[in-house]
Amino acid sequence: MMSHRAVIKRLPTGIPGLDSLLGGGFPEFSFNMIAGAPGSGKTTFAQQLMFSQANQQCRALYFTVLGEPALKMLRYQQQFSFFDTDKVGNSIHFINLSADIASGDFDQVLSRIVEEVKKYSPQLVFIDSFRSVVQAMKDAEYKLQHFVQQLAMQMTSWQATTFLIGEYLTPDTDASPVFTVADGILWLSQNVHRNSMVRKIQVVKVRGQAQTPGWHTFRISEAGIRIFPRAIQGPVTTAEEVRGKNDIRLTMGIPDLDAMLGGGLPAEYSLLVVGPSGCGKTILATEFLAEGVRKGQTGVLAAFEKSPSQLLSGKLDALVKSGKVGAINTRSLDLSIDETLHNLIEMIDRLKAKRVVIDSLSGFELALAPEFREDFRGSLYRMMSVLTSMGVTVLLTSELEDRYTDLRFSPFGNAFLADAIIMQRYIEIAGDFKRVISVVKVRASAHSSALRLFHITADGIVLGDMLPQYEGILSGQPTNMMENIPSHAGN
Amino acid sequence: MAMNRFQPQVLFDLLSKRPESVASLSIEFWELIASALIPLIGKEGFTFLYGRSLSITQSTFPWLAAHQGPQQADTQFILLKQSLEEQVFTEARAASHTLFINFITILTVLIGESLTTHILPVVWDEYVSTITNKEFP
Repeated sequence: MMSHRAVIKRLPTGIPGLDSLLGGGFPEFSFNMIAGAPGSGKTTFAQQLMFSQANQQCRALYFTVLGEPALKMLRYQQQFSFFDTDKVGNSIHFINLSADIASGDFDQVLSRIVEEVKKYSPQLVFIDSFRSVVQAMKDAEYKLQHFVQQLAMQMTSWQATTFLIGEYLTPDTDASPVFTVADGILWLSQNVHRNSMVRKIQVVKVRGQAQTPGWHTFRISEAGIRIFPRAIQGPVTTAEEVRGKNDIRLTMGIPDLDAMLGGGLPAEYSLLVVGPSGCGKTILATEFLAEGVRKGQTGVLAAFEKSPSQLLSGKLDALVKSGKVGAINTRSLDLSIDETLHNLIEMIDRLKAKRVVIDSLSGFELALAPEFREDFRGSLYRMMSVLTSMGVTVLLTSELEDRYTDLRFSPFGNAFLADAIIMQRYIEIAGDFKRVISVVKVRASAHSSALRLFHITADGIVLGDMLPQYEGILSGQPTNMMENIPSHAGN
Repeated sequence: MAMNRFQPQVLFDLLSKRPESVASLSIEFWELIASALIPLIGKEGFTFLYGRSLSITQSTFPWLAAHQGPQQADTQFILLKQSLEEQVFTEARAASHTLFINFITILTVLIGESLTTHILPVVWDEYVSTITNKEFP
């Protein structure tokens, strides 16, 4: 026998990033709670959803209750670009329920809501703030459970998708019937840590569909809310796939370095360029991007220290101005890894970029809100995984103070996540400050193990000689073995 | 377009045509304005705005009566009608006109010209049509 199951349509939300969190959108005719502390963005969330979806075929009713005065709400919400005055009174109707609530007759409140729903036949219904309703009911000793169940049934019968907006710090017992009856619960929060503020959203529950669990960061700008769903690590690359990728190599713009890498950097690899301040990491990264442009490959630069226009060499700035390299400059101190990743992905997609530079990890870490610095390593791992699975090759620079007593490749212990590592270092020879470069690692590929001098010229990086006659180079003060050989040696 | 026809001067002109009914026509007008705004900003929101407009207008027309403290709009309108009825036509018309200008000015500052001129022309048209029909039955 054939079974005809109810098909639940998913309603798009118009809030960037939210549909994927919900598993496709809000279920049609569902009864939802948007909860969070005051100032967490609930009303903005509700109005962005409403204004983006409302049209002649999808009408919306927005019931305002005692909470935020409607006059102020209208004043502030129209600062967002999604607020469309033309929709007010046409596809969107605001109804103030304050007087009905104040009467204390909640059967009458329910009747009034249903009456307005009958009048306008809305597809979307909002009640802001529902906590004010709950509070008023408590004073009137009215059964909240009865009200919520009646409201949920009525709204579903009238084929409306409903959103209750409430100020809750936690799912308190007063409102537990609301949380029980709700088909969907979204929780918004804002965490303040030192001087940074991070907004987060959690899909606590959506009946009948798989949502993305956990907290996700979001930002409120003039355009409204934008959510940055937490990046999920892509499929693990097998050894065979790695070997396959090795066939395609990217040239670095420094021919001798390509030779040291075993024929260039394998495509879709992450390369960590590590070295002390001023040793030429950004210059090497610039050569990498410039070489890409020469080969017809666009690039993206995430600059967390200096913007291209601030650098002495105009080369990077010229690449950005040419449009072949997109630049993300930020000095913000409240970023999340996911926001950065979304900005990068957006630019990579737009430019169809093949090369990405993150300059530098130290600057990136500083730009993050303090709470994300704690899990910097783990987040970076996810970020690299997502970027390389997009088919881009990533170069990261990392500043490392040279102590000459130990050999380290990153201050974060994150060298393991790089597929390849290039180390730059200062050494002193005969009273002269010199720079050396070496390829420490290229996963699944043969590479040079030499330490070579290099020079920074007006044309970029030029590799010099190897230093076979020296030992102790990594100590910073190499010894010339030839000078220690007795004059009769070799005779 | 909406802005052109939604001008306080039009109210002034309409009241000029019915000197004997300035008070009742003014109240009809305010009732329509209230009916358009109360669903949007609530009774309290409207009453506070109206009260503030009345307070400003009282500096020019001190005879305008107003309740102290928050009152329902309909109570305020009854007082307005009584005050207007006690004045000569030109004074009543000038006060009604000024009260409207003050109200619109505050509303525009708070919710913006765009939303104001989007909401009110609907009732404005209704009002103009009502007056016209009364004038030429």
